[in-house]
Order: sequence, then structure tokens, then C-alpha cells
Amino acid sequence: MGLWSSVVKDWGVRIGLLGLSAVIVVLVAMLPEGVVVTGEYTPPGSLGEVRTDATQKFRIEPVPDAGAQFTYSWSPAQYREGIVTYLQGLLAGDLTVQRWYGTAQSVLPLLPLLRETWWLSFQLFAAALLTGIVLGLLLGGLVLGSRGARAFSLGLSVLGVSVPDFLLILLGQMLTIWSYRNFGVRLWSVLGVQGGERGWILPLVALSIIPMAYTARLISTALDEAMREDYIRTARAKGVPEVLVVLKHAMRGALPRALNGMPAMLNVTLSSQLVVEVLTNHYGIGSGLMRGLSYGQPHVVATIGLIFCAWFVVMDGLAVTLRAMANPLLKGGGAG
Amino acid sequence: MRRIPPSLVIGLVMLAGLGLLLVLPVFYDLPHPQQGVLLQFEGTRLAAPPYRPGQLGYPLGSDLVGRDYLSRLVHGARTTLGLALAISLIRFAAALPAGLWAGWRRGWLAGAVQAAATGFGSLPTLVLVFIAMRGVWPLLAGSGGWMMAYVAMLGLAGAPRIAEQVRRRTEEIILMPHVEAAQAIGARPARIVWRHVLPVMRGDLLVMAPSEMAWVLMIMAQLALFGIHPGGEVQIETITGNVYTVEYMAEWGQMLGTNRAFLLQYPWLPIYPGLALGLSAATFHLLAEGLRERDLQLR
Repeated sequence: MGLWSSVVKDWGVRIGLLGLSAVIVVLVAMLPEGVVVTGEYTPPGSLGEVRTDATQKFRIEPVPDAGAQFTYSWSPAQYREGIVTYLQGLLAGDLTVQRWYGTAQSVLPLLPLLRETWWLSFQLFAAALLTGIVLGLLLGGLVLGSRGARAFSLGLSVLGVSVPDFLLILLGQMLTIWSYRNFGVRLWSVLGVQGGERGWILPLVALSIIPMAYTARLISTALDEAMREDYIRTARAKGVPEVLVVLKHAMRGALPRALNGMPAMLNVTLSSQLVVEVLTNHYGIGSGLMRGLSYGQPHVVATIGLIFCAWFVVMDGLAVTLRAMANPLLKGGGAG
Repeated sequence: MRRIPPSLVIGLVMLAGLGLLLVLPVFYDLPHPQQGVLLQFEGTRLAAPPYRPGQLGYPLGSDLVGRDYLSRLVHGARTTLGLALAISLIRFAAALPAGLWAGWRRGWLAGAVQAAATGFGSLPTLVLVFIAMRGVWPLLAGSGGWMMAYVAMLGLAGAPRIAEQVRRRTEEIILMPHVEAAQAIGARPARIVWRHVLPVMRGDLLVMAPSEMAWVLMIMAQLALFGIHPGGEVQIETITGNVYTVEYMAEWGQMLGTNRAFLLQYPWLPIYPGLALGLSAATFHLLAEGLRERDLQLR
């Protein structure tokens, strides 16, 4: 099988899987449509209110029958009806959304709104991914350097995947507030403003950390293993300069292996994008999704879920194409 | 003699630290994690919570209702790491047999595992679990049902990806001569997988397990930021008449998520649990890296 027929086959598989993912998304997102509430609303696990004498030490104890007075049921017919209504609205393009980012209108058409917000999210995602991957490749390559460079590469990549994105954002926000209070210097925008100034530095830094660290780990692991292969020893024995050994032989072996891990990295980065968008008031589809979930809007959730699926499948397909191009002998890419 | 990789040494030391945290309440008498106080004398003055780190004998301060934060963090280690372990175990328990069997049989089973991995992978785990939990919570009976659903969903959401990794590795291993030899002498498939495939995969699994723990910890924390956490919340009325909603269960993700809004006023409230999560994740990442390097050395 040639390179391009393999690539076409992989894309075909991915488009088929996109259909499957879309079904999963719609079925899961529409679950709240089937819920029939009878009785009063309360969040799950609420343990009631504790009142105490102020100076006395008290101990919070669970109330045994908390939540016992609330009843819910789930109606398959209502669930089915919700899915049908949603699909009809999606096909007709007349889905609407309520309470969208504090606008004056109570009901707005959903799809045009998502077109705008999608572009905003895509810009952030693409910039962060590109920055992260380029820095990650450089960082991962250090593993072949001296012992100090190796330790630096390992340390930074482990730190990158371990520091929670939200903590980074919160600390970044604290830092700029502290700097502004003490020196009058604003390092970056703390929060975006709807229709106004939008902060880019902090979300970009926070979102590019994971792709950077992940790529560095993937590349360093793959290079580590590739450098132990027989063909590397042979190239060295033949007197090929070390730079060429790395770039021409080791990288060629390592790149397809590293690209294997790209789907997982994309998944983690997309998760991180939601957190970053919400915490920095970046009005993209990530924060739109979280808003839809918080306000109980299954139509918004399902539509944005579908966009995420398509997004992922395109990125995954690109990774597979790159992998096949890096190693044309490889048949089937991620499908294999 | 081969040198033990430094990342493995550091990872093991940090793991020992986490272990110490788990057993600390047995040897050291910490205040009960649910014990609070709304007003205390500090000399001649009255002080109200949250108490700063070091104030009134609270080494790491207290939360909004005067519960000792050190005690909550120490007790929180058991809950957080226990939940992460349970979720990781569910993932491996579901993924390992499916991946091994799919790798051995190939055909439609391999296709199904691959489809599930791509299908579940195409939506961020955070979103998948968030949507599912929001969708099913009214049907869950009490906090126990909620906790079980939380663990099960987080477990199952990650299982297809692990199954796919196991399937790929199995397909590589079954091409090895020792597996072919076992087939040639007529060994049963189950025996071949158990005796000849699984032992070769042990190194990979040893690397995958701690790495998975780290990612589970991260996703738990991200979910907690959006209000999806295993424990409930309680409302406490303070002497000023303010009603605070505070987390009930001592769990790091939940402590971070509930106290996120207080970052500027009381920074220790979100930062300590955030640091605990970050350090635990780093521990497991370092362990995974160290074990991988060790495996490479031994090959």
C-alpha cells in the first residue's frame, strides 16, 4: 500500500469514527432532557446547614436523611423527544440559546454565535499548540546533550505536565495584581472583557505548557530508544557526524513513535483549553460549553461537543498523515 | 553495576513522602478534619476565621469556618490518592483484558477497541465526565451513589485509551519468536497471553500505571474547579451573618475548587491543595520516567 492510499484510508477511518463520536456526544449531552423533576431542587450530597455557638468548637457531621425528600425520574420518551428536537433544530440551523454572556437579548441564534466563538478558541488553541510543540521539540532534543541538559529537559517537562494549568493561571493573575499594586506595572490582562480588551499572554502561556511538556517527553523518550538501535551504532561506526546521526537517523526513527502520542496530547490540551478559557474569561467555545453545562443547556453542550469532536478528528488525522509521511513504510498509521 | 536513574530515586523519595502523609494521622494526633471554630481569643482580641498560617497554632492556617488546614490536607491525601488509585485500577481492570484479547484476536475486536479509543478520545475527558455527571446526577441516590458514579465514569472514560495502547503492544509482542513457538506447540490462547505476552508487557504496564495516576489526579482537580467533585458541600453561618459554602470532604481537588474564589484574600486556601496535587502528580510522572529509564537499561 502506497503512502497516499494509506493516508486516504486513515482519513476514511477517522471520518467514520467521527460519526461514532458524534452519536456518543449527542446521546450523553441530551441525558438531562430525560430527567423529570418531582419535588424541590437541591445539589447532590448537600449535608444541610450547621449552626453553632461561635466560640465553641464544632464538628460537621453528615445529616443521615439529607436529600431524602427529593425525587427524580428519567423518562426515555422525553429523552427521545429531546434528541429528535435537537437534531431537527441542528439540521434546520435554527437552534437558539438563552443567557449568552450577559447580552441584552434573552434568546439568540446559536450557530452564528458559535461561528464567532469557535474562531477565537481556534486562534488560542493553534497558537498554543504551535508554540508548545516547537518549544517541546527543542526541549526534548536536549536529552541527547550533556547530563545537565538532560536533567534540565527532564525536570522542565515533568514540571510542565505536573503543574496544574489552573494553578498557573491563578498564580499568574496574582502576580500581575501584585505587580500593579506595588509598581503600577500591569504584566498582562487578568481577565478578558466581553466585546472589549482580551488578554492573550496568560492564556497562551498556560495553554502551551502542556503541549510543550508532553512533546518534550514524547520526543525525549522516542530519541532515547532510537539512539540504542543497531542502525545508529552502524552509522556511528561508519563515521557519520553525530549531528547527522541524530537528525537523519535517530529523528527519523523517533518522529513516528512520538507522533503516536499526539492524540492523547490533543485530548489533554483540549481539556486544558476549557479550564484556561473559563479562568481567563476568554469567550471561546470552551467557556461556552462550560456555561451551557452550568445553565443546563443541552443543545449548546451537544453542538459544542460536536465541534470538539470534528476538531479532534482533524488534528488526529493530521498527526497520522505526518506520521505516515515521516515513515512511508508504516502502513495504517494510528489505525494500525 | 547499573546506576539507578535519578528520576526514579527522586520519584521514590517523593512517593515515600506521600506514604508518610498517608500514615501520619496514625502516629500524630491531628485535629479532626471536620472540627471548626467560628471565634477565638487571640490575646485580648477576638479573631475570626480563616486563620492565617501560623496564627493561633494553625501551622497551615484554617479554612473559612476554622477547620485546621494541615489536618484537612493530611486527611485529604487518603481520600484523593485513594480515589485516584481506585479510578486507575478500574481503568486497568477494564482495559487490560480488552486490550490483550483484541491484540490477540485482531479483526473486529481490535477495530472495536480502536473505535472506542478514538470515540472517547475525541472529546476531552473533562467534558465527557462533566456532561455525563450533569446528565445523570438526579438519578443517583445520595452522596454514596454520586461518589460511585464519579469513580466509575472517570474510570471508564480513560479505559478505551489504555486498552488501545495494550492492544498495540500485544500485536507487537505476538510476533516475537517465543510466542510463535508457544503457538507451534499448541498452547491455548489464554495461556499464551497470560504466560508469554503479559510478562513481556510488564515493563510497559509499570510505566503506564504511575503515569495514569498523575493524569487522573489532574483531571480530578480540573473537574473540581467546575463543581464536579466526590464530596458534598455544607453551608455555615458565621457570626457576621455571612453564609459560607464550604466543602465537606477533605479532598484536595475539592478544597482547591471550592476555595478558588479566595485566591487574593486568603491565598493559602487554594494554593496548598493545588501544590499538593501538583507535587503528587510530579511524583507519579517522575516514577513513570524513572521506571522507563530503568526498563531501557535492563533491555
